[in-house]
Amino acid sequence: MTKEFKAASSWDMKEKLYEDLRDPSYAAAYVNEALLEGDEVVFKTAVADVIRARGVGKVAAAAGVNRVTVFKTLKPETRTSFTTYHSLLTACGIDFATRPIKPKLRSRSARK
Amino acid sequence: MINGTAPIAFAAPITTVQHSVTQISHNPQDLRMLPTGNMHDSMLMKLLVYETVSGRRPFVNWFERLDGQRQASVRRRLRAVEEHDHLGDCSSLRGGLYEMRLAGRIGLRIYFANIDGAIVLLLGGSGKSDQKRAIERARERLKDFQDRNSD
Repeated sequence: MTKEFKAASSWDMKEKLYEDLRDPSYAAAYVNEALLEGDEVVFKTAVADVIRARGVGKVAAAAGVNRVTVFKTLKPETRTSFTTYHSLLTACGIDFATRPIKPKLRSRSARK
Repeated sequence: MINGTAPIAFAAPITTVQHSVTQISHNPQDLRMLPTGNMHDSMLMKLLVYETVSGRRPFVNWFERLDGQRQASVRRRLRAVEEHDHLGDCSSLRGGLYEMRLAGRIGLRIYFANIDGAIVLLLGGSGKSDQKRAIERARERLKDFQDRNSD
């Protein structure tokens, strides 16, 4: 699809994002925000972004996996195991962290 | 329309003209029927931002005024759209306008339209408090986009 539109332009979000992601504290905040969404595809995209920003080869070596498998495991249709996420994020220098929140009560019985 | 005696060759240009009119999807189901991440890259939806006549980009302006944490939460959602056509938690606001709901206490919203099933046009964003005005503005911007692309 090469159709040109008036009143619209492309917006290069990726370049600036990858620049920011090289900062470990931004990368951690980015992944945290993605966790908050509770959506696995969003989370996978974020993890893949951090890995790319850090350099796939470097991360793969640190996690002890093949660089080709890194992105295979992060495809939306693949079921990625917790261990994989953990080893990849650790290799990126990021930790999972939890914090207390007020839980949303979805079902009627839970409110009783 | 052309009458029956006209040469068939004329039919083609006329249909092309009809198709060049920008189609804005009014059916929320269309969004879910779009190709998903396992398709080839060229099938992926492209993100575009709306531009005013004077070249202002309201969505980018809104984004740049957000603090770092909020920018990160907008980015992670839009990256999932870019990379995997994954729109996530969205709802229709009618008239071809949609809102993307971002999780979190702030309740950020991104307003967009789906153009020709191939482009996600970002029209604006808001928090929970300024939502009403932001939706009105997004609607005006979508109308302007349609008007300027209708010839």
